Formats: sequence, structure tokens, C-alpha cells
Amino acid sequence: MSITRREFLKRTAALTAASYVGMNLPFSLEGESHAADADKWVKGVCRFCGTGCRVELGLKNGKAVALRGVADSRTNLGYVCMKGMLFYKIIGHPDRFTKPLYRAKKDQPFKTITWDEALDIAAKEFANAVKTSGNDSVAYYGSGQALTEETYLFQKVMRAGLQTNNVEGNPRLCMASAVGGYLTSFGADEPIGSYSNIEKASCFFIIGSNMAEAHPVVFRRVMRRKLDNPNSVKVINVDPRISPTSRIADLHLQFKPGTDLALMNAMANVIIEEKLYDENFINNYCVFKAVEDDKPKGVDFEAYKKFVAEYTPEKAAQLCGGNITPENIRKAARMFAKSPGTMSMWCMGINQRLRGVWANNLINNLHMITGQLCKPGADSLSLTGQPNACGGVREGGGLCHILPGHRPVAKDKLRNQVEEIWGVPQGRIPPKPGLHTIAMFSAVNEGKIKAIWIHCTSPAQSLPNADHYRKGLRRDDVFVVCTDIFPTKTTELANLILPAAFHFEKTGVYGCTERRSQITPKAVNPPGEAKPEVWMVREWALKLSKELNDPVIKKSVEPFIGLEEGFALSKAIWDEYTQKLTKGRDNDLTGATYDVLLKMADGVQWPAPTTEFALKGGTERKFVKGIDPLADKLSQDDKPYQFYGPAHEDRKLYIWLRPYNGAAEEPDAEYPYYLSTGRIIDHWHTTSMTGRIPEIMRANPYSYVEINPKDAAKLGIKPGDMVEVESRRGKVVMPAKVIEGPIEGMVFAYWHDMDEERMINKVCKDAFDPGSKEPEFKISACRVKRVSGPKQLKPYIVTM
Amino acid sequence: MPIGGFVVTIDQKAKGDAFAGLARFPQVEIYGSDEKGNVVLVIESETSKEMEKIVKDINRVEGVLNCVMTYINVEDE
Repeated sequence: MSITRREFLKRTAALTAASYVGMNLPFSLEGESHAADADKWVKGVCRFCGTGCRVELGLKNGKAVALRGVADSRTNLGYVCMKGMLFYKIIGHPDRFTKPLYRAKKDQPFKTITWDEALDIAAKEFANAVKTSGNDSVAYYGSGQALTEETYLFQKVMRAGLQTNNVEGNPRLCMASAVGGYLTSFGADEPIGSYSNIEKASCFFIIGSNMAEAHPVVFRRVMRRKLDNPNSVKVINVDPRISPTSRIADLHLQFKPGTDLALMNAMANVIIEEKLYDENFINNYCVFKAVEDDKPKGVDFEAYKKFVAEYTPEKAAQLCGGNITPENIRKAARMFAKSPGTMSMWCMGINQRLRGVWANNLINNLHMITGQLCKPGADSLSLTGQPNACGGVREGGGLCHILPGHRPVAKDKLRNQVEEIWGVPQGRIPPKPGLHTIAMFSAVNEGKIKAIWIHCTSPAQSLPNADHYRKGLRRDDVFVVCTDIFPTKTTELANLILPAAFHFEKTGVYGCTERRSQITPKAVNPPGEAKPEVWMVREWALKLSKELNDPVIKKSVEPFIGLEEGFALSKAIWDEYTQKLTKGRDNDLTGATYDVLLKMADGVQWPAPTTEFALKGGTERKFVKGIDPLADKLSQDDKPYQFYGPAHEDRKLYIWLRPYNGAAEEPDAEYPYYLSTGRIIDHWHTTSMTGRIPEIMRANPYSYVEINPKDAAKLGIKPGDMVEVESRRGKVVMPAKVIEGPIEGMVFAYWHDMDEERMINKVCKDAFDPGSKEPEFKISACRVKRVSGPKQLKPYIVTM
Repeated sequence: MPIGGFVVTIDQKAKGDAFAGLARFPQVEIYGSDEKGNVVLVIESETSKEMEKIVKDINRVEGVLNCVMTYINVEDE
């Protein structure tokens, strides 16, 4: 019997969902005469978060009509969160920029101009800055949401063309400390293992991450593992805040913000005291390092043992406060060490800290002393916040100190290699790293940077102490170009806005948390005159070359001149990057050509030095012989693991002696509360995209502040009351949510809201980690007071 | 009227509460469940705006641990 079209679609939806969990439903759609739900499906990657969920966009008559997860993808196994499912709504949204906009002064209205005029203006302004104030008076500030091809080409033109390393990006705000941790602990950036360890792990150590909301699809895998093995799999959740992630925890350790360094040293102490460490792993692969006179110094196991011995569980429990008891610390240490495979997962709670690198080191230490690395189910896995922070920015040369292929710019040999590959004169790329994010925007404040290109990000909202840095962006002697799809708090301060193509409107690659590169090909045309950024950079560089009468600038884009912008141009850039810049490096993507990536359900994990190997998916676990081809190729002995990471010439893993230090700003009598901030499941970062999806905005129209019931009682705050949160830098007023979430003495605010009254980053402190230069968003001091009872609020999004 | 396919994971210890909670949504149709706590359901709503709200509310149902989507069709929205 025939069914209706609606019933057909409902059954399609049900069968798709059922197929992912291996459930049989009592019907099929065979023989049904209804037209298919879409006439073309195009595989790509989700645009939100760093999980790397593989999705398919369904097109009917060239219009996006459906979306589904890709069931045989190893990242998401077919699942997608609601936020990810709704991104298609951004395609064709009426608020999109569709023409270049310009104003000479920032108090003037924008006027529409042609692309030729826009790129002329951009070229003239950057050229004038270089002529009058030198090469370092210009800067590029990019994004972990930009495609790898975009980041690569921008940084190439900046470094080889404009001869400055002022190349930065917003990943500095989210994962720079994880980079620092991996490099100093393992000698190589990015995780050793993959998500596939989740289904093999017996213990999860989730610290500083609300996975359930920030990475719901990865969380689902962890949750499933726990539910399927309730007794043999243990989950330890370590966080000053009880969050939805805590729901699956066997042990939730709640502590005063920042004291987790003491907690992890105490766990190491227990592991050593109770002889739970892996002596063979330590002897074979590890050395111990301390810091003396600001320099690393080798020490021995006894020195490490003595160092952590100071962190007795009793002392640590006292420092940590909250629900931490000496017995809880012992219990967590035993779970971690005794499990057949322990997997740590963390995110901004660890990275966005004054001692973010140290916190990363201490997690890695626990894995090294227990040998919980390189074996099934064991890994130290930093979750990434953005879809291409790893692939584009960390690997593609998107930070001020690194060139493509994990090459530190300060290393002459590696810098010269890049110059040679690019065919530019030796010495063209300056040896000195450029300005890191906070230094870059401080230089903008001081007027030292005269022209800045901000791509696919909104620092006017996302920087800590935001009001301070917006002063510089407002200056009329600082020329600001923004490439974006929607108005933001930053485009409000721009001189020139260039309308960009969105996801599926251009072709390019994202590299997610687990070293996996995945392609999203162009499926629909961008609206109006919006263009792919790679086209903009190429055309801008050609004009710059003329303005500065410098043929080397043209040389930097020469291989790409004349190529069609929707696919061929991106392919040529990817080819240059992978075939020439990653070849022979630890992130070797030589085998991951566009042809291969288009064939794969879920992309390729590096190292993948050949197409044959890439077609199998690449390297699931780094450094392991028989799994990682570089471990075999670079093997120096008969040991199963070969730690060939470029940062440790001795090929050892480093166990660091890192003490507990407090935050840059601890609560005091004047500002007695800890302030921490984070993301909510519905919204993505600054809401420039998700704020325009009505269903998401309605579900979470504005930020609020979570307050522990005990604090709320002390302060006379009731649920929904309007509350002022004030620090030494600024204040906001937002509704209160009274909840057993944050630990007593701490408040937690969501940072997505664009409204000036509720923009919490005005309040956060801009202190940063001395190693990673990542700001300490997660901890600052504030005071809190009730302003009024509940108030009707209006959601706010920047519009033109 | 968008149609979405979802997998909801429920805590087996609170199975009764979870199913009772899910049954309260007129837009939700349960297609199947298994002993692992997986529930396959379809939401048919007036707008994707409404669907978002329903998903949010499902996540708050006693005994529901997680609700993820696998498919959405919006051809007539």
C-alpha cells in the first residue's frame, strides 16, 4: 500500500536513525514510488566545533533541503548535534553580505563598491602602511574556521610577499596551550591517538571540558561506552562546575578554579607511592625535566618523586577545596593508573589559563608515568573548539611563530626550506616571530599596526578585556579589513567589508581534533557577489605587487593565477601545501590529495605519506610501528614506539616538574568571586551565525550567569533576577540562573551574547600564559550584586 | 514542516520516566527502542524553530541522557 509523502519522509528519518544504532524497524521503503528526498547528496564537514562530524547536504533543484550524518564516518558515526544540523540555514540568509562595503572613516556609513575598487583600496592601504611604517605595520588575524587553503595562502602572501610574520588567528585564544603541552611533553603537536580509542577505553579522565554541551557527538560515544559497560568503564569528571557532562561520571571532582595543578600532582604522587607507575614505559621512553634559571634541566625519577611528594593528597585536598578529599584523589589516581586503557579529554578549562601549558603537561605526565599512551584505549586527547584550528592554523602556518608543516619560523634551516619551496629569495621571510594575538591588538591600540586584515572571526567580541582592545580598532589611522558573511561586533569597526562565500559555497579542507583532514566541495553558489577568500587574496596580492613594485609578491600567488575560484584554485593551493610543504614533515599529507579526500567517507589522518595509505584512512595512532608509517621509516631501535616528534631531538617524552601556581587574578576582598566563562550547546562562539537561526536564538536569546544557590542566598539573588558582574575591567548585567553548577564562590557566564550590556568578555582578564600566550579566560576575579528583579530582555544581533 | 530523525539515549534505570516524558510531546513519534537505551524517534514540527525547542525540552526529560539527530528534511519550509 502506498504511503503519503510526509509518511515517506518520516520513515526515511526513522530508518536513517535506526540504522545508526543497528535497530531493525518493521518496515522498509523498497517499492515506494515517491521521489527521493533529495536529488543530490554532497559530503562535507560540519561547520561548527572541532569534532569534525561528517555530514551530507541534500540538494533538490540546486537548493539545500536536507542534511544527514554520514554513518560510515569514523568521527561521528552518523550523528550530528542540532546546531550542526541547522547550519544550512545560513546559506541564503537575508543578512548575508553580498557586496563589498567601504567607508574611509569609521563614523561614516558604508557604501557599496565594486570588487575592483575594494581590492584596490585594500592594496593601497596595506602598501602605504608598509611604505610609511615598515613591514611589521601590517597584520593578518585569521581563524580556526577558515579553510586550510585560505590560511595557507594568507600567510604565504604576508610572509613571503609583505615580509612580516604578523600572522595570527583566534586559535591562540583556544588551543595554543594544548600545542605548547604536546610540544613540550611529546615533542610533537596534536594528539597521538584518535576518537576510535573511546570504544576501547576503560577509564575516561574528563577535565576542564563540558563535552556534553560543547562536543555533544563525541560525548555520545563516551556515554555509550559507559552505558554499555557500566561496571568496567569508569568516568572521572574534574571540573569546578557540575555540568551535563557530570551526569555519566562515577567520580566528579569539584575544586576551586586553578587548583587542578595541585590535584594532578597529587594524583602522580599517589601513583608513585602506591607503585602504580609503568617502570618499563618510563625507562624506555621518558626523561624528567625541571626548569632552573628559566632553562629546562634534566633530572631523574627520584627528583620527580620528591617533587610530587610535596603534593600529598591531604595537602592537595586542602588547596583544592570543593568536594575534594584525600580519598577521592587516591581513588581517581587508582582508576587512572589501573585501567587497561585511560583516555583523557580536555578543552578550554585547561587551555585558557595563565598556566595552560603546565596544566597540559600535568595531564600528559599522568599518561607517561602510567604508560597510558600508544596502546588501545589510551590517549591524551585535547578536544579542539573550532573545525580547523588543527588543520589550517596549527598545521598550515597560521600563527606568528610557525610556518606550514610545523616549522618554527625562527629555525633558519626550516625557514630557508620554505623560501626555497616557494621560490622566493633566501631571507625573504623574517626570522623573528611576529606578534601573538594580545601583542598584536596591543600594537593596534598603540597605532603601530596601521592595516589589519581580520578574516572569519570577531576579535572585538572574542578578545578578553574587549573594551580595551576595541579602542585600537576604532582608531581612524588603523585600516581594518574584514572578510565575513554576516555583520559582527568587528565589522562595526571596519573600513572595508568583503563578502565571503560560506561553507558548501566554496571548496576546501578542515582538519579536526584527531589529525583528520576532510574536504567540503562547493555545492551551491554564494549569494550576490560574495567570493571565496582564496580568490580575494590572490587578486589582492597581484594589486599589492604593483603598488609596492615588488615582483616577489606576485610570485607568491603565481601558481594560482587564472584558476577557477570554486574548486580549481583551492585544489592547486592544497596541492602546493600538501605535496611540497608537508612532505617529509610529521604532518605529512602527501597522500591526502583532493582525489583521495573526495573518495573517503571521513577523510585522512596524518601522517599519510602515500595515496595508498591515505585511502585506508591514514594513521590512527602516531608513533606506533605497524600503524604509523613514519614510526617504521624513522625507527632507530627495536622498540615498538618511536617518538620522532620534531621538537625533541633526543626522541624522548618529557615528564615535567610543574608546580601549582595560582591564577593571574585571585578573588580578594574587593572582588570576592571567581568568574569563569564558557559556551552553551545552542550557540557557536559570538552568535554571528547561530544568532541568525531563529530557532536557536529563541531557545537561548541571551547570556546569563550561573550562581551557586549558597552564594545566591548570601547575595539575595533569586532565579531570573538581573545581576551585575563587575571586574577591574568592566561590568555586565545579565539574568541569574541559580543552580548547583558552579562551585560555591564562583560564577559562570556564557560568552556568546553580542549585547553591550551582556558581553562578558569586557569583564574577563587579558593575562596570558607566558609560554603559549593564550589568555586566561577561565579565571578572573569579580564582584556580583543584584540589580533588580527579572526583566524582559531583547535578544541582540549586529545588523547593517 | 521539517521532519527529523533522532536517536535518544535513556538511562535504563529511569526508563519509565523517560518514555512517559517523551510521550508527552505530540510532535514526537517513537519508532523503536532497544535494551541499550537507544530510542529512535521522529519529530515532525511546524518549523525548525519548534523542533529546536522540542529537542531542548527532550534533553530535560528525566532519564534522557542525550538526544542527537541523524537526519533532517526541510523541503517545504
